Amino acid sequence: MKKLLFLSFFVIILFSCKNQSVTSIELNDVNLTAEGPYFEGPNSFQSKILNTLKINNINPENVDKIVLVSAILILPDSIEDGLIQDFSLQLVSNSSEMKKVAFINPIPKGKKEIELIVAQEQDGINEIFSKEEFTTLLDANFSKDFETNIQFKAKLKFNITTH
Amino acid sequence: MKRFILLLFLFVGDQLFSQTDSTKKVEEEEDYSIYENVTSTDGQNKTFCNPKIFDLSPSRFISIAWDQQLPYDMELSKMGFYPKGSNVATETTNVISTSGLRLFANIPVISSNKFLWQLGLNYWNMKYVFSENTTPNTSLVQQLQKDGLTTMGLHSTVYKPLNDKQFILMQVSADLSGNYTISNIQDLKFTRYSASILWGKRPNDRKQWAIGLSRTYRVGELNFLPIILYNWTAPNRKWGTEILFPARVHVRKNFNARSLVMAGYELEGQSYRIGGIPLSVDKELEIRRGELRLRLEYQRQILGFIWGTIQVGYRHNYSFNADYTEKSGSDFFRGFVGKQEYAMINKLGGAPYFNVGIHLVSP
Amino acid sequence: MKTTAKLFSVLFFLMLFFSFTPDDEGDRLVGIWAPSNGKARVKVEKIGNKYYGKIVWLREPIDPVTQIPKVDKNNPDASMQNVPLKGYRLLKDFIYSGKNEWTEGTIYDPENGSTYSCLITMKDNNTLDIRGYIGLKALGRTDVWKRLEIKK
Repeated sequence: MKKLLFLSFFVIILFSCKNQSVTSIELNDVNLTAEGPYFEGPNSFQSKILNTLKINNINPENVDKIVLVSAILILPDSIEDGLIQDFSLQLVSNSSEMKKVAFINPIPKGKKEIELIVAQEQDGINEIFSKEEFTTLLDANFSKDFETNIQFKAKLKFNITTH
Repeated sequence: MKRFILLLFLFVGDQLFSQTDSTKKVEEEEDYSIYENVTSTDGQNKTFCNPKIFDLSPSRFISIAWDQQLPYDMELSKMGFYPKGSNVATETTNVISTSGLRLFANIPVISSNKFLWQLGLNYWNMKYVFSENTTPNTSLVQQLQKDGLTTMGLHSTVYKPLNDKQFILMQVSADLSGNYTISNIQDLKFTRYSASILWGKRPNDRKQWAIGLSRTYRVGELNFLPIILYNWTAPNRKWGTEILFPARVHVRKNFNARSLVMAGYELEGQSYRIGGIPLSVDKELEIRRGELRLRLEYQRQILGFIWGTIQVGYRHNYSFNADYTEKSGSDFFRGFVGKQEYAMINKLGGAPYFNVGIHLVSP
Repeated sequence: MKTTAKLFSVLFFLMLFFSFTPDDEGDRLVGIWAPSNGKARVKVEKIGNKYYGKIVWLREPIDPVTQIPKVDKNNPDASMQNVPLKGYRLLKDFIYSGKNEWTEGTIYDPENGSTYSCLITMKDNNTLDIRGYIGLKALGRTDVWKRLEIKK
C-alpha cells in the first residue's frame, strides 16, 4: 500500500511538471535611437523588435514564462561620465501593458558597458513577446543638454520557459 | 468641368491624401526645465487638502473580523433603582468566552478631491458562553446566553476640504443594538443616533489636526464630548500617531508601505435594549456597555489591496450597567453629572482578547 | 456626362469634408497636466496606439531624508526601489474608448507603491477626472487634473 501511494505521488509530480524546458534567447543588436538634440531630463530612445519567437522557432502557445535575465547597455564614446544619471528600460506593445524590466541609478563611472539591474517581478512579458513586434523603450536621464545624435546598443538575454 | 475638377484636386489634394501622424513621437526631445514655468489654461488651479497624510494606516472599504475575549467574571445585581456610586450586592458568574463576527463596509458615494461622502454599515455580534457551574438563573444571563448582543448600524461620513489647508469632517450614525438576531430584528424605535463634527487643518503632508464635538454612545450611554483629531507622521516616515481623542489614541510604527504596527487604546460601546426579560415597571431595559481596549495591532498587506490584521490586547470594562428607558424608544441624557438611577449596577472583570481580520483597503 | 461630373463633384466634396475632420480624438489627452495637490506635473504622450503619462516636474524633487532626488522607494519590487521619480511613467497603457474616456490603463501611486485601475474622463478640454479604483469603479477616488501650458 505504501509503495502504491509513493508511486502515485511520484507520477503526479512527474506529470504536473508538464515537461517544461528553458531556452535562452539573446538579442545582441538592439539599437536604441532617438534624434537629438537632447535636453536635460528624461529622453526616450526606442527600438522595435520583430518576430523574436518565430525566429527562434518557439510557438507562443507553448510559452509559460519569459524573463529578462540580463540587460547590458553599451555607451557610445561621445558620452562622457556624468552626462546621463540613470537609465530605465521598458518593454511595450500595442496589446499588453508596458513593463519596466530594468534600470540603473546612478550609472557607474568609467564604464562603457553598463549592466542594468533587472526587475525581480516580471509578469506578463510573454504577452508582449506573443505579438509580432514590440518596442524596447530606454529612458535616459540627461544631466545637461547634449547636441550630438547618439544611439545605444543593448544586449538583452531572456529565458523562455516552454512546455 | 474636367479642368475645374483637376484644379480642385491640385489645391486640396494634400488634405485628402496626406496622413497626419497623430502619434506623438517619443523621439521628440523635451527640455524638462520648461515644466517649471507653466500656467493653467483656464486660469484656475485651486488645490484642496487631501483627507489623508503620509503613511496612515489604510482606510477600509470592507472588513471581516473575529473578536474573541478570554474568560472573565461578570457581577450582576438584581433589578432595582440604584443611585450612581451605590454599593450593590451582586452575583458573580464566570464567562468562558465572549466572541463574535464583526463586519464593516464603508463605500464612497462621491469621492473627489473637493468632496468625499461615504456611506457605511456595520454588524457586530457578541455571543456569551457562561460556565455551567456558576451560572445564576437570571433572566439577563439567559438572554445573553441565548442570543448574545448584536449591533447593526448605518453611518455617513462627509469630508469637505475648504481649501488646501482647512477641512470639515462630519459623521452621523444610527445603530440598533440589542439581544436580537437577524431573523428577529428588534423594533427600529430603539435605534440610537450618534454624530460628530470637526473643523481642522492640514498644514503639510505629515500632519493633520482637528477639533470638534460629538454626540456619542462610545462609553455605553449617551454623552456629549469634545473631540480632538491629531494624525502625524515623523519626517523619517517611520513613526506617527493616529488620534481621535477620546475615542482612540494610537502610536504607529511603519515598517514599510505594506506593514505597520499600532499601539494604543480604543473606547467601544453601545446601548443594548434587552428584550424578553419580565420587568416590574412599564419600561424597557438597556445595557450600557462601554469598554476600554488597550491593544497592539499588526497590519500587513496580504495581496494587492487585501490586508490582514491581528490585534491583541486587554479589555477593561468601563460600564455594563443597565437603565430603564421608555417604551417609546427614547433615551435620556445622564452624562457625567446626571443623577438618574440605574436599573442594575454590574461589573465585568478585565479580559485579554484578540481580534483577527481581513480587509479590502482603499486607495 | 453632366450627371457623371456632378456625381464626381459631390463625391469629391464629401471626401474633402471628411478629410478636414480633426485628428484622432484620443490625442486631446496629450499635453501637460497638473494633479490637484500641485505636487507634480505629468506629461501625457502617445506611444504606439496607447497613452502614457510621466512625471516631468516635482514640487519637492529632493527627498528630505536622503537628500537625493526622490526615487520609487515604495515599489513592491525591491529591485526597482531606486528608480527615480522624475521621468516615471505613472499613467500607463490607456486607450481612447470614445465619449471622452480613456480606459484599460493604470495609475501608480509612488506614495504607497500601489497600482490602481484607472479611468480618465475629459470634462472639458482643460479638465480631466482621473479615477483610480480597485475592481469596481465605486471603490475608488477621483482627482481633478488641470491642463497646463508652457509660458511663452
